[in-house]
Amino acid sequence: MDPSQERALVGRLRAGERDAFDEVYEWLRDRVLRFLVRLSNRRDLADDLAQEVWLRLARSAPQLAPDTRLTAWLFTVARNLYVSHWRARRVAEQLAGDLLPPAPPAPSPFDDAAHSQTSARVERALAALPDAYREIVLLCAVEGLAPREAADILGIKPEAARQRLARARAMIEATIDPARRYAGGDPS
Amino acid sequence: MTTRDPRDPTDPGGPAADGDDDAAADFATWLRSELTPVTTTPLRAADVRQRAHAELRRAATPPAVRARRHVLRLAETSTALAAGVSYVLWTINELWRR
Repeated sequence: MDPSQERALVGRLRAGERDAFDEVYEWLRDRVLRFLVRLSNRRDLADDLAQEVWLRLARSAPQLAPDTRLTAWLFTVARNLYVSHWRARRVAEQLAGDLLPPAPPAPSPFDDAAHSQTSARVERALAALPDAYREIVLLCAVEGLAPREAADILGIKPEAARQRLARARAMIEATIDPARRYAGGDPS
Repeated sequence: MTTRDPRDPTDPGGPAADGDDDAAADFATWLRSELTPVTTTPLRAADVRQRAHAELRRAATPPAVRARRHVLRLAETSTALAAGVSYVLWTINELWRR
């Protein structure tokens, strides 16, 4: 969607038009969801967080700036909601103290659904990345945002975003069989 | 890599310092092709739309109108409560007189 179309859409959202909301929802709902699924590694949590993202958009519609970039706005809210959830969970776990045994590492929610062996390995490699690296890969490589936009969303400098992305890429590449890597095509 | 200007060397979100833009683009294409698609279920989508439409209506209502509605609801509740209390008092009084 080009910037002038997006501006018009934001204007209609600000006016409270339901059709405008539906257009944005159709356009970006799956992107927001897949970002959250891979960020949290949990489908159920991602569904709930994604719903809250969209309700926040509806609540904030009259206050949106006319030049709001909806993709960046939605990914920022999605990430903030995930971080808040994660912090609340960490506090709850600390309060529980030693009563609970340490949780085993969560498997990727795509383990059963992956369409090939390589795909399953890629999903696992992505799920195993530390949050800071996973989110930059998701925003830049998967969602196609520029490092500068991703940096704004993450609250870091563009150069830091680029470095993180390069490191994350190296981490994923290191876990994938070189013969099956993208450079030579995927034989699977 | 949508809004980056590859011609602008001063853009920190622009061309890569180590010149690995092509590798990054190849990596992104490959990664996207390997990832399992994620879609919102129709039931969840319908639910979100319905709730969001209600929120949009609410958000579009001016605060003064919302406040007036709230006061009217309170007044209705108070009137109903007063009527209920009067009825109970009247009933007690009637029972007392028998």
